[in-house]
Amino acid sequence: MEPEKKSTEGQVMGIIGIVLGIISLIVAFIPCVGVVALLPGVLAIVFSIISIVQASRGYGARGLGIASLIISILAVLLAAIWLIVFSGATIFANEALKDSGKFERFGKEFKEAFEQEMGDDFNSEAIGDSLEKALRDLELELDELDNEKENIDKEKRDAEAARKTGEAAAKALKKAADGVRAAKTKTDSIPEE
Amino acid sequence: MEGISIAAMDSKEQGYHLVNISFILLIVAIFCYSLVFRGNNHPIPAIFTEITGEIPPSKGLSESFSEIVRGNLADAARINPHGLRIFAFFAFQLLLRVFFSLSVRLRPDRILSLAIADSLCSLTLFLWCFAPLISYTLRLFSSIIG
Repeated sequence: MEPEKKSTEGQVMGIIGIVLGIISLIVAFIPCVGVVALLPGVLAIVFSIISIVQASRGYGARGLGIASLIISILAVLLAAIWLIVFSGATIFANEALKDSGKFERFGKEFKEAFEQEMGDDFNSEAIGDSLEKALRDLELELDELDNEKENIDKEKRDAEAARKTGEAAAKALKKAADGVRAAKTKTDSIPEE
Repeated sequence: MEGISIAAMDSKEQGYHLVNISFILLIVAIFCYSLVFRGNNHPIPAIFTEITGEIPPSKGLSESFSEIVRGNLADAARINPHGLRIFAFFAFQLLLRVFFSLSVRLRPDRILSLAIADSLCSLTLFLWCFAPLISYTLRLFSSIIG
């Protein structure tokens, strides 16, 4: 009985196809670079098809070509979905940029309504300065807390730090509120012309 | 006739070794890339995060690999908790390529069963090591399609 004759037609293309197919399948499952799998995946499909055609014509084994074709089609499908995801996100971002005028108008209307509610002589600069000062004081207090923390037990330290952070935050907010009241009082005391 | 069969078997063995050598070279290239680059100077950008603003489970993977090859496993786990697992896939694949190539070299008559065992081992390893990425990808895709 003669042994089965199998030529090596299509094997080289099949090897290239399966290597590229496996690489693109692995890359397709990595979110950051999934879309990159499209190029090697498409190449893998091409090489797989060539492998199958060569094997069919030259009485070679088609198994390798078929396996690489399945793997590369799966990889290309995943990469194509990544492309759709990125395209959709890019289109959304572009639409948001086109509508950026809406955000500007919204901001302007918000500011006007806010100032009207606060009072006609609303002094935003004074309030801004007062908030900045309050934040600087809060930063200094938090730095002091960091230094103190090292000398206290871990449990007591955490509780103490939380309590002091709360106190510092309350002080900062109180200062900011005092600043707002002072600014409003100052503008109220200016006589009308 | 017998000559053709032996030639075919040798070429199958050669083909199998070629595939293994290709993957060995690729894995070594990945390790070399991780050794060359470190910290924020990796050339591969986090495209997904830049475009969508979301942080996928693969963010910081390159940086994590760089720390692993330098022996800083704690830092690697802090940068990306899945880094060690995914790195293990490539490390084990390197060993498996060498192991199966040697096995086929020693027992070329069992190339088919060894290739099947190789495929099953690799697939299992891939599914286990890449599970966080696979589940994230499939969940994201099903939310888009669904």
